[in-house]
Amino acid sequence: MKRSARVVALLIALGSTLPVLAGQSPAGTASSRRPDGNPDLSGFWQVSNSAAWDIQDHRAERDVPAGQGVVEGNEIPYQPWAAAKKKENFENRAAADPEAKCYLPGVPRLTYMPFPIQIVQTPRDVILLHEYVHAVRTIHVDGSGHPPDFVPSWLGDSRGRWEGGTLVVDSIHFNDRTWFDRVGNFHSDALHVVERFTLSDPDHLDYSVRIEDPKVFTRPWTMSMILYRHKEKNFQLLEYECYGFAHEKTYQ
Amino acid sequence: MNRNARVNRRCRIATSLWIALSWCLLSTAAFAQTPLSDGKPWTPKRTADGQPDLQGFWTAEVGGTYDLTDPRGGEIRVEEVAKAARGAVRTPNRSRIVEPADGQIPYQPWAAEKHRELRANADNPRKPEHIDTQNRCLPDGALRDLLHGGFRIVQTPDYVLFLGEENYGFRAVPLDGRPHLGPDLKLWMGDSRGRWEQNTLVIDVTNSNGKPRLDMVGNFYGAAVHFVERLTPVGPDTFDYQVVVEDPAVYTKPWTLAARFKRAHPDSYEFLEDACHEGEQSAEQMLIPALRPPQ
Amino acid sequence: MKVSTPGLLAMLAWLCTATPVVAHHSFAAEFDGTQPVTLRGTVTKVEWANPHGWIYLDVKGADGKTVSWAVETAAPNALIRRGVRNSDFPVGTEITVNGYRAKNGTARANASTLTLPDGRELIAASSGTGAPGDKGDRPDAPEKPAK
Repeated sequence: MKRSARVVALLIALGSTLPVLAGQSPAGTASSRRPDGNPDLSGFWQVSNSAAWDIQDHRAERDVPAGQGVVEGNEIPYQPWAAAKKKENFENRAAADPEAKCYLPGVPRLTYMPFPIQIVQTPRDVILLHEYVHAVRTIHVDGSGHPPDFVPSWLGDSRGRWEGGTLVVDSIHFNDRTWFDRVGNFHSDALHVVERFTLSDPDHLDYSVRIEDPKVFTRPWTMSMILYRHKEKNFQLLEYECYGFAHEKTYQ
Repeated sequence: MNRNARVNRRCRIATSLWIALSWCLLSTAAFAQTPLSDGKPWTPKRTADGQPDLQGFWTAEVGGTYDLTDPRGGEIRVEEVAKAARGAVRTPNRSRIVEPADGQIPYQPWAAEKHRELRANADNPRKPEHIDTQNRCLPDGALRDLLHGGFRIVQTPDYVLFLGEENYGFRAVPLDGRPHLGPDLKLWMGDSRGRWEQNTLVIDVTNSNGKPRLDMVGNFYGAAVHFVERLTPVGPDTFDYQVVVEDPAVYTKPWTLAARFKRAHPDSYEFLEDACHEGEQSAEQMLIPALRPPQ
Repeated sequence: MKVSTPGLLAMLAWLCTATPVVAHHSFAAEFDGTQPVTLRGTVTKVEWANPHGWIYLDVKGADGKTVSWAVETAAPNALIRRGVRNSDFPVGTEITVNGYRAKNGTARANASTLTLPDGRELIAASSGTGAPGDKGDRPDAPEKPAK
């Protein structure tokens, strides 16, 4: 081969490896893609808000920062009976909030608990590992549908698909035992959640959540917030064994 | 040394070697780690990034953690009590502990006494510490998380993930060679670090808070515990597991447990949420008569 | 610690056919294997949530008095995989439960089997495995469940 042709061949070979290299590069480059072409959401993420206390605009309290709400329009469209129920929840929140008993916070509250999340992606599922009570959410992205037989669960049954660069997750089969926050916003077992995860850049996940529950609300409504990537060296999940604290003294 | 003495010495050495070899063979047979194929070492398929592929849904062939040293394979203790009441005599099952040879955990005297008391009260607890940590939905810790029920392995270039169905416990084992956490961070699940040695995944676990029990009959460790686990695929649907457990504050020497794991479900299987704490009623009120509220 | 090879093989074969479901709490600590109980009653309530299902039964005693019993089943996850549904016992259904009494003397039992009015027997055991073909740990269960 002539020398110039060899150079051209080498440049073409190099050029064709660049997309592969880009796909395998660590977070920080513009196109973090998996070998299957989907965005790579893997890594460590955490919200930086106080939505777990109150998803609407709220003032500060001791140990809780003030926050601009994550509810679009800042209004939650309760049916009249449900608005009264929310008030009742609020009055009793210290004892009545299931999270205060260290129960699973449900979806989407688990996502905005102030603890890190590790996302692991396989070809068939996106797995969210939570430091908060070692909770695990599995989002099936293999095209399967919700199973017809189910046990109502705290975190629901989640089926996802990719729409361009967005992971769209549909979740149902919830129980009615969780709240959206500490101040008593709640739902029924008819809850239907649609989440959208979009990497706006390699270190920011735009997270929007559509809530639909015809037993409780007059119409669907949406929350949105950002999940920030943890970039500290050697970052890992630790533990928050909420109901374990009470038993630590019993075991050595 | 005269000729007779040399012969005697050779004889003693030969005898010692033969005994040692027999012991090796017997202890190997004891946990049945013979390769499944025709004696050739198994070559596992690889993940896209070159790790031996251990992914999928697994369960121990002899599972359950009622008693590490007398495995039942599942929760059958009530039925055992029923059978004993009808006169049946039970033979203990072979211990999964292969070192020391007696299949028992080599406790220091104070720890042996503590274990005796926990075991004696396991079926009729009188104090909160008689109740197994798993009964309270507390994390299992290393070793027990793999033995007590089914789990899934997921591998990425940087992690081996163990995902349990029951109480959805997990261990994320980094493969990137990072150091362990500092000594002041103590975790129920401990802190795992993994590396591949040929086809064996070696996991080093430190930073335990020492609190999870090993089983329901009160086998235990402390916060100085160190686990070294080895997972080796030996067939398309089988891997062998061996763990060396040391804790200089609790045991007189390290001990070794071995178990074989088999594929439990096809790769398309789905776990279901198995919340524990949320549905569990007070263990103490249930189990300890003195602590029950008046009827 | 010795176990015969055929016995060990039989045990392994039995164990090999299913994934063990292991209790969150020790049933032997809560329920008394020396006190088997058979309850016939009508379902008043079903709690279908992990880690255990609960079926509440009104049982009429020989003295004519009705006692409300709480019967603990395996995790609904395990039951669903065995083909059991909470729709199998709606309120008002007459069922028969074989199990063991709670040690604390309350009207609670650990269900081994549930028999429906049509004669179908459901393995509701809180013990044993969750796999098809596993008959729980009833004394009369076969050594090797069907695959």
